[in-house]
Amino acid sequence: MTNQSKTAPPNEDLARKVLEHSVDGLLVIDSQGIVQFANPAASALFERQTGQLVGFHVGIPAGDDSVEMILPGGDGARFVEMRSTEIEWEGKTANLASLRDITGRRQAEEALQNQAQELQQRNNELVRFNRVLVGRELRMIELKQEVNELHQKLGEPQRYRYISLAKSSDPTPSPKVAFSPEETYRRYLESLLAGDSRQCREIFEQWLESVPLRDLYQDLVQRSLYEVGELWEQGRISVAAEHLATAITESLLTLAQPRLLAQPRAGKSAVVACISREHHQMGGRIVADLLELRGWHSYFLGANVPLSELKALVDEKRPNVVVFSATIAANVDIFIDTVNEIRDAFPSTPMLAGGQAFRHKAMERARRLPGVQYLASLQDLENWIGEFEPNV
Amino acid sequence: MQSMKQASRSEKWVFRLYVAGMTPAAKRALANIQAICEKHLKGLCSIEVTDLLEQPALAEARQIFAVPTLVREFPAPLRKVIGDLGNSQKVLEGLDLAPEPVLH
Repeated sequence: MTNQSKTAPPNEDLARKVLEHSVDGLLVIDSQGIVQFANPAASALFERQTGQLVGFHVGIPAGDDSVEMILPGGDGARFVEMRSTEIEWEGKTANLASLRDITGRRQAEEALQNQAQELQQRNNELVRFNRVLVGRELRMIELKQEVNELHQKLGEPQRYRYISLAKSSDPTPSPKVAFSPEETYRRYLESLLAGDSRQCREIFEQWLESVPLRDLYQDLVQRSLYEVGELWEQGRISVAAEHLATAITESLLTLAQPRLLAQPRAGKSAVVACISREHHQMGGRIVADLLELRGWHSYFLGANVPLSELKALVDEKRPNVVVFSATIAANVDIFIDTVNEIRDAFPSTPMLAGGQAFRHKAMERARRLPGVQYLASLQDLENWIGEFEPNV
Repeated sequence: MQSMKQASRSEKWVFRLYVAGMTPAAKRALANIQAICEKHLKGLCSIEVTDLLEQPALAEARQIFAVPTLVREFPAPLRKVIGDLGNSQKVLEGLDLAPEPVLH
């Protein structure tokens, strides 16, 4: 600002005119914090006459930042942002304060803040959940590695199939680099345990593009579910986490459906069922899908099928085979009853059985049951299908 | 200019900070006046916070139209500074806490 003589009104006149006509509200506040000048825009903001604003004790602006003013207007409080700068006014130091209505912005900010808080809270929960589960899982892998190493030293076969002994020091995901089944499997399992369905889907789709469907079922889906099942049995993850993993897997399997239906038909059919009281249907689902992949028609009945219903369906469909999936060894008696009844009713229909339950000692009786063949793996199922000759 | 000498050394200064919710600016203002109290008044002051969102009628009654506003309630006369009080020189001047102006 240039030096002005005390009687230099032309510049001050000009300044006043600029201030009067500004669309921003403008106040001149003296060194005592009292309004000396207010333009019409400021008066409109305050809903007062210009004259009423002059002499009003606002206070001395003393902030680094802008000040929010709240104006208790007729239709709810309004928020005004005030920025100030020091000027000379009528020969004295004063503050020129410019005012801008930010009511709308502030309301939007509040809404955003609430949303952000909610998201943050949910995210924190997920992170905690994830940390607990993945931490346990990683510790498990370490333990399994140790066990395997000990077995190796003793010259025995490795006890656990599902871990990579190669110590990968680079777990960073590399989406566009060559497809690595082992690396993507580990990430898939972590995501599954963390309930991250989006990440699971991405990896699932990668597998769908990169490997034969059978490998996807066996090396991604079955393997991960077995590991989840083991973690659950050992009390390392909650039932909820296990169910979440199952639910995610089930939703992903639908992505493979179009491929299954495109397979040439083999003119054979199977009834696939989980026995009564068996609530885990994923194993059966996978078996049914694999049969479809080989051109079979599978009738998958899902979880907890009452014996009477099962018999009725077998009677109606007359399948080439009946397949049972069992995950809970405690249901061994129901399983044995079921097999006996089906064998008596349909003596020429072969039966297959598989699933996690058969790994338990309690199921030994069931494995030796006449008329039913125990399959230890999906590979066994594949072999069985390959050798199958309809005996009708 | 009146100076802090007018307040007896044993008497507490009383400040009231008017805010509309504990916004970031309100938090900064509170921290700034607390620091000034420690540094310039050796803690001989009390700071009360009034939230105008809880007591909206006070805005009109006490002529507080900007937040944050810090009011010096004691000693008289009443003084007001507004903003986050980040400009401590202005705060000291506005509250009349500044060292005596050097006027020879």
